[in-house]
Amino acid sequence: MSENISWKAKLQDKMPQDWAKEIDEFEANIELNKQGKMEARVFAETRLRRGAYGQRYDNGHRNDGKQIRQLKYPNQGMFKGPDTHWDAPGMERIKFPWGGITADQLEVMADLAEEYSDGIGHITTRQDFQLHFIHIEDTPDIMRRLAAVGITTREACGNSVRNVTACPLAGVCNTQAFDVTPHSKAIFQFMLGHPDAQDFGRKFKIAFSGCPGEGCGLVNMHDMGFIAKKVMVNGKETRAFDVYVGGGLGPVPYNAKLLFENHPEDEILPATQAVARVYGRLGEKKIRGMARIKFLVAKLGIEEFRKLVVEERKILPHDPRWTTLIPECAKEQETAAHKPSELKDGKYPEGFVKWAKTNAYKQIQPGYTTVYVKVPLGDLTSKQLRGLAELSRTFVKDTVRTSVEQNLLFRWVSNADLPAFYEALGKLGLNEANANTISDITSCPGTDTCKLGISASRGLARELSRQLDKEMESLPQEVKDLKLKVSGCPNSCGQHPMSDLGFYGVSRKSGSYAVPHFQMVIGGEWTNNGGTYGMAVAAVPSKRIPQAMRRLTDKYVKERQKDENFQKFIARIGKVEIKNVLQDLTVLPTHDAEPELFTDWGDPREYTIADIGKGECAGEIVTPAEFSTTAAESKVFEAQLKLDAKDYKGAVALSYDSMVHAAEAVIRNHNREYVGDADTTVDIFRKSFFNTGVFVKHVNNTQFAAFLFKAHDNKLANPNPDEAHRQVEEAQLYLEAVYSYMNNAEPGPVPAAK
Amino acid sequence: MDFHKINVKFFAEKGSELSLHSFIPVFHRWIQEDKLEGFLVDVTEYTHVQEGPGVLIIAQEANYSVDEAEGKRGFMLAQKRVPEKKAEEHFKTAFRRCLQAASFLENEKEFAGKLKFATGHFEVTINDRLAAPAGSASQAAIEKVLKPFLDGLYGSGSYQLTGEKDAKKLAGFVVKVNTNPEASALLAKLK
Ligand code: HEM
Ligand code: SF4
Repeated sequence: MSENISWKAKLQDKMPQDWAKEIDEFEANIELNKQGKMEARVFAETRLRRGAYGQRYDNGHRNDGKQIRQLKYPNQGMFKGPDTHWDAPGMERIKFPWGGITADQLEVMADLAEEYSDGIGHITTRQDFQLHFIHIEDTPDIMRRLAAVGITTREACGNSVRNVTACPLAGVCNTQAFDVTPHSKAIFQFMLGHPDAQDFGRKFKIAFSGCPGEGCGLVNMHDMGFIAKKVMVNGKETRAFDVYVGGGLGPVPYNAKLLFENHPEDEILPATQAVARVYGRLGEKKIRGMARIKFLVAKLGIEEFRKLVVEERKILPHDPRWTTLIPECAKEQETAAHKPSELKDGKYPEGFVKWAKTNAYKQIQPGYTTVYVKVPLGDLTSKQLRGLAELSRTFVKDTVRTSVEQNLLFRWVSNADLPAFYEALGKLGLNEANANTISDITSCPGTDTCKLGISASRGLARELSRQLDKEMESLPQEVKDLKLKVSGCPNSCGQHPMSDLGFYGVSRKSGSYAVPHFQMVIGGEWTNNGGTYGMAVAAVPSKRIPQAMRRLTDKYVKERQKDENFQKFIARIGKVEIKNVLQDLTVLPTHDAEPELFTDWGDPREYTIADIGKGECAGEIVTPAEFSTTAAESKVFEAQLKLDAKDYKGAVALSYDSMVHAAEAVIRNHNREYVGDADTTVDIFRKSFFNTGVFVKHVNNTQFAAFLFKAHDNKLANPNPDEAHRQVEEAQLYLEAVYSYMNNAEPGPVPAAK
Repeated sequence: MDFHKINVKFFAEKGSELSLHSFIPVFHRWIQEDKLEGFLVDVTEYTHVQEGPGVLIIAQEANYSVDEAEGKRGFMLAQKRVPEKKAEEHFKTAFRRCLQAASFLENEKEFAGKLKFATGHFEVTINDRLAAPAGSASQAAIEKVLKPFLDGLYGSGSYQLTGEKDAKKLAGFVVKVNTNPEASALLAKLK
């Protein structure tokens, strides 16, 4: 135990070097921002791309139930985004591609939740984890500790390719065409930081499903999605995908459109790249509400969009990873910890049989079961996370996955182990039955922590779960089987459109008071990859939702025709009749007559919508050129630190990197898609901007460009302190010149080379 | 060694059966009343989680909670960022804040006579695996700063320390004092 050791030093050898470097850069950005050298807007997008989100009340005020209070965050005047206070608690989203999580990773999550958050790791509706109430200055160490166990938070938020999700049953499922795990892994690796995915107007979400009929993959709501199938090619069975594009939720949900049918396995990487390029080029950049790919696909029509993608695919420069990555990823096959076995007859632990009925899934592999661990609201304590890591080591072999239902799945449990596994889960308080039933409710963060929350989605989900669990035994099977999902506002992060009974937060007024409500969206389909979205039928006050839900389920049980499912039932009786059933519940009393209606679930404060802030889901519009200047800033800043540490070689290397990024900014100012190595960048800068006089014209000094050429043409192998100091200063001056150029330059393409 | 991320949890002697939900309105009221020292931000709750962090006040300097970890209810403070000051001050601040808030809670009208936290039975851990990785070296280092502090507060020889042995858990001690002094007397010493 030494006094001043840092996580950075302690984990240096455990992190992939490029990740470690990126985190250092991010830390340098934090420092730059603190010194007021970075625009809040640019810093916001920088942190969002690393998964560091804002949280409710970070705009500096909060309703305490009596009045709106100004929050006295310590460093007043310091911001981590437009109108986002530096010291305000924030959220860190941590990506788990295809939902896979190892025992070591579970343990690190446990430690992080305990040390930096509130003791809870939260599973999201896209197979990620989130930590809440985090200080921005703790995020670099959080990222390092994650990187040391193979997790990056890069592109967990912001306008980038978000987590690539996949059915958590992939590989063990009875209805799958084949295991889509290697494909989701490959796309994740291929698209992470891919140059063609850096200039999107909005986020881009990809999902994989092993079959068309189930809902675990929810392809229909994704920007891009893949459904596995086997097809016959020249009499031989081969692997292929139906590729979908342009689905999405948000206030107006869109169904994904079929882009390619029976697309060969080895063509899915280039197809994704081609789609990314078309979207990057033609997608809306200015109007955020219109920037998701779903709007582009709808505007062009799928035929035209397909044509563009096909053309783009033809001109893509070949990348060997298109064909090597998937087979490489397929090499890592899951194995079981124990031999297959059969569950022995005999005396089982109390509650086991009931639990097994809802929480155990018979795998395609004989002798094995996948266990659904029902995680209430997706929340796990540090102790539970550690306990689960132990169970994962004892019973399975790093085959745990998160689900979009906010549960955890333990795959490959040998059948004879089930009673012991059940008991071990019980010790962690995690052997609740009723997974995948009506009481297993999905919810977004809502007013608990989300800036955009209108109603308490988690509060409602908690209450409904509690009530339903109590009476589960007496519920008819057709009610038990319903899916229930809640979002705190129309943005649909709780994925309510794809549930039988969905709810999203809205507010209504009674006199001068606001009343929290939920809009009921019913008859949506979870199966068929979220095949149809539900319809909004009535906005009901939050506190009356349990009653409203009961009326609908009672009606369903009484009036359903033989084998009629909920979707068909709703379609048959129609919206008008449902409205009638709920009508009286929508009438608002006065405040004095029923004061509890004026508060939300789990929150005794008198309700107001004044706490709603500006969301960060859309990210900030930061141009590629601005990203380059930001990178140049942090490189020169890091170079300074190296000088202080008397590492002159490091200082020279980083100051050179800074200059190359600055030159890249000049090029991107005219060609936002530009990507190139250092030699190409310096060459274009020299020929198109320097030799032509364009750069000098706006900077009024030839010397600055010369600094770049000097550093590039005569790389200092063993710089002395003076040389290193000089080059760092020159990098700073060159960067200033680039800013000056960007402020003054006329728009237009890159000038012809001279 | 700078141990400033200190967790202190005073175990409940009475009131473990009170519904966790009943603490939520009280914590909201405390924010309205600026009841505690420091800057309180929000209330958050995990009533749906077994043996979890319970109900919390998120404050800038610390999280306060009616905690249920290990199935033992207690009033807990988890110190977060602190302004630079002397290491020995950190324990004093953490104990003062925690004891003060616990004693406020006992005296809230809803809980009068029904809730009591033992002033002489608590857990102190260092919530920072960099400064205090689990193991005997950390245990010894913590003991070195904790003991003089506890000697001053409770009197030397008046308590027993039980060290944490689980390598996955935070380093620290459970402390059992021979008596349960009045919170006010302890607070007077912690001013
Ligand atoms: C205008 C702002 C926002 C929009 C339009 C939006 C929309 C969505 C949608 C449609 C989803 C779910 C389906 C999908 O992945 O496509 C989603 C996921 C999610 N959203 Fe939002 N959202 C917004 C802001 C927020 C904010 C501010 C939070 C909370 C801090 C939040 C939390 C989540 C979570 C936890 C998920 C699951 C995410 C994951 O793991 O990737 N969203 N968002
Ligand atoms: S649905 Fe609304 S309230 Fe829920 S997380 Fe998304 S933006 Fe926030």
